[in-house]
Amino acid sequence: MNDDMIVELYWARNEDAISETHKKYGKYCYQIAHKILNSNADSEECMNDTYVSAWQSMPPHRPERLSTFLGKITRNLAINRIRRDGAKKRTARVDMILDEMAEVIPDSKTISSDLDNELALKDAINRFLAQLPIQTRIIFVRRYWYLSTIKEIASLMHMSQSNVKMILLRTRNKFKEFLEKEGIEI
Amino acid sequence: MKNEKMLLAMNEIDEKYITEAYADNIRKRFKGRTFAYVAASILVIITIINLVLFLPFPTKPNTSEYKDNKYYNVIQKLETVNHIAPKHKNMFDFIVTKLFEKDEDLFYGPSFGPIRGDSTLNSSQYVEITDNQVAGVIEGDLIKRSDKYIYYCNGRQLKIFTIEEEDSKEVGTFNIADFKLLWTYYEEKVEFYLSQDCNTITLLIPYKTAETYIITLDVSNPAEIREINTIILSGTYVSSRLTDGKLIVVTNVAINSNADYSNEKEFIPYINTGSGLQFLPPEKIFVPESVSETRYTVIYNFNETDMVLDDSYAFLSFSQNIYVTEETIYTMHSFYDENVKMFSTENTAITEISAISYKNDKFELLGSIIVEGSVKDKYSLDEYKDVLRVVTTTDKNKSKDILRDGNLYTQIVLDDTTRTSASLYCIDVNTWKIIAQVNNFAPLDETVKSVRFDKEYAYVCTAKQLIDPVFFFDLSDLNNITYKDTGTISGFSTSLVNLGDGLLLGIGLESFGRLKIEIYKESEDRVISVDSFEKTASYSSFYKSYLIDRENKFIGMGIRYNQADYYILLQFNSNELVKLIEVPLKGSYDFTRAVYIDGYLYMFSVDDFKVVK
Repeated sequence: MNDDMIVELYWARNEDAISETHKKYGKYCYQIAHKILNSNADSEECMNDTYVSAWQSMPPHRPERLSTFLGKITRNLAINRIRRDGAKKRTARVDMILDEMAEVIPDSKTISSDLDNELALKDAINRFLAQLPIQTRIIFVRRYWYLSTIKEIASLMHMSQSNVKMILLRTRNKFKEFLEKEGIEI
Repeated sequence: MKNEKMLLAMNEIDEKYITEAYADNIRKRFKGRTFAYVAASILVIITIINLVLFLPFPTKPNTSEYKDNKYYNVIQKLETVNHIAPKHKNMFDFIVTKLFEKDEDLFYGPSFGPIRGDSTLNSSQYVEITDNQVAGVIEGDLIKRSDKYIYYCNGRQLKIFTIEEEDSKEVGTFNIADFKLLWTYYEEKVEFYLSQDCNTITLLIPYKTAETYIITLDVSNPAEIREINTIILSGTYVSSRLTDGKLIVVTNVAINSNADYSNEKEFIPYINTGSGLQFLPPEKIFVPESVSETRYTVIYNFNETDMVLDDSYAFLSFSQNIYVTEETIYTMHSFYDENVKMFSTENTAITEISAISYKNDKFELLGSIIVEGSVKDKYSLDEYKDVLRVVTTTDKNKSKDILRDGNLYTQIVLDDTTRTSASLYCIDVNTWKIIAQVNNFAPLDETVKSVRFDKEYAYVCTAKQLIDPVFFFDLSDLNNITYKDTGTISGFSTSLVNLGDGLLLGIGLESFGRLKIEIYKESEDRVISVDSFEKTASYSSFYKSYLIDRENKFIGMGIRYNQADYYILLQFNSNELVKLIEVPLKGSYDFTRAVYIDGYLYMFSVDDFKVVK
């Protein structure tokens, strides 16, 4: 069943929407959740929460790309779960990625939770991604959105792991410079 | 927690980057990399052959020797017109033409053989009864007639009735539901055309969400309706028109984001005339610089006589509706322009209007423009004296995704920036520039409910819930557009109709569940309500379900109350609306149709047929 038809099922409040979503995107959502949560039970729960959330969002929402829409919900739910449960539930992979992220954040800035700043951060990330060469951008998004391992990225991109690591290191440094230049406070 | 926040912020990156990095997409990108070197070598050889065979013969005049001439621009322009292009595009074209001396285009000239009904059996005269938006541009409907028969389709069957007053009877039936359609088709969207010689009916049947069936029937002998041929088009049926022997059909073809590009069926619009799928050639697909949706709007131009496809045209854009003049097809696509911020999104409704010429049997893109606001339907557009007039609902809002109890919701943020109103734009169709506009003329928070144009006038009904004004615009001087309105009155019109003699008919709601039919006219300083008819009943908002007889000032429609269906006929007489008849007529009012012929009203619905004097 194509995505438009699945979305129509949601809009028609037809419960087949959930089974069709699971059939087509269950594995995809599970993988995203599992990378963050590293627990079969938690990932399955997160996947189910994704379906409930999709059911509650459509209507009124009509996503342009169902896969990305579901992926975003899953990722958000999983991250919120590890935030709620604290460090004990984090996977080693998430810890590693969080450490990498910490390198990027400018040291001298004060912590701000101000909404404008958060808007600016999101805007900055998208502008930063837009100016990256496509290969670098894919590697960056695979690492920090899909939370893929270096090995997985290397295999996907037909590159050596050291090459992937080098590209990520350089991109993180560029990103740090970019945020500093933009005066973004985290 | 800074780094966690950073990780969370990554969730807000543009969807295009997420899709781009989707594993399947990357695999496709790298597919065949192993063979790159081999391919490169082959490519070099092919390039050399191509250069010899396919290097185009010069098609543009060489005017460089006049470069220093002060009339160089004029010379260039003249030479473009005067220059005779070479007969053959390149060496390959030359060789092939010489070898075969025959140039057949399989896609653009499929012939189905004789497709017309037998004209010796039926010598009826066609009578136009559809209230078409543009004179001469016929719209499909559930009812058509000749001087002998009335043809009615209830979504599931096509029926033919004689016109014999009280003795009228059904003389022919064709079951659509028994046809080849296996499961889902949308009977509420079925419509048909009757040919000028009244021997052929062309049914347009939206099937599933992905295909449109065109079935041609020989109705020359009503007792033996015969299927002549079937054409299947990819895409959801949008609309169609019949003008000057050309049947224009528009579909929307949606492409999956994970389409397999080795399979043309998955990403190229097609037509199936019974001899397999034929895909639109690349030169018939227009790809704009920026593509916002992976959907095609596909326009087909059939010769109505033999259903041969004269031309087709696809462009990567989505159209919800079309407006067609005698020469031009306007497609409309309303959507929100999203300005995505970290935790909220600012949405501004905009409409992209594209114009495609279909004169001379071939399609040509004339231009396109984006105006602010969303378009309600085809009646919101009108072309008059080279000016396209458009009425939109302007809408700015803000939404944000919120997490509550672990679930993500999209919520509209209500603040001072979240407002709607209505605007009118006048666009020069030669330059594609807005030459006049009236911004936000409706009270704040109102939306456009119905629009009608009549030459130099525009009528607009806007409303917030159940309170509306009706506006009369005078567009005779685009430098000085003036308008009057009714002021706030209860209810709103879902259809506005020019009833002639300066009268405007509004069909809509007085309050929830209460039908209101109202006649307006213009006074010196405002628009006034002349009379209205109200009844606690539900009704169809499909304009074509109404009978509008301007000559007799008749207004007819199906209604439902007390769990029963009725047909009512009103007449505007001097200064009042009078109910002439109300008869039970079983079946959904959306499918109800009626026609008034020589003192008799012929009424049709899904399960009923009645004639009343």
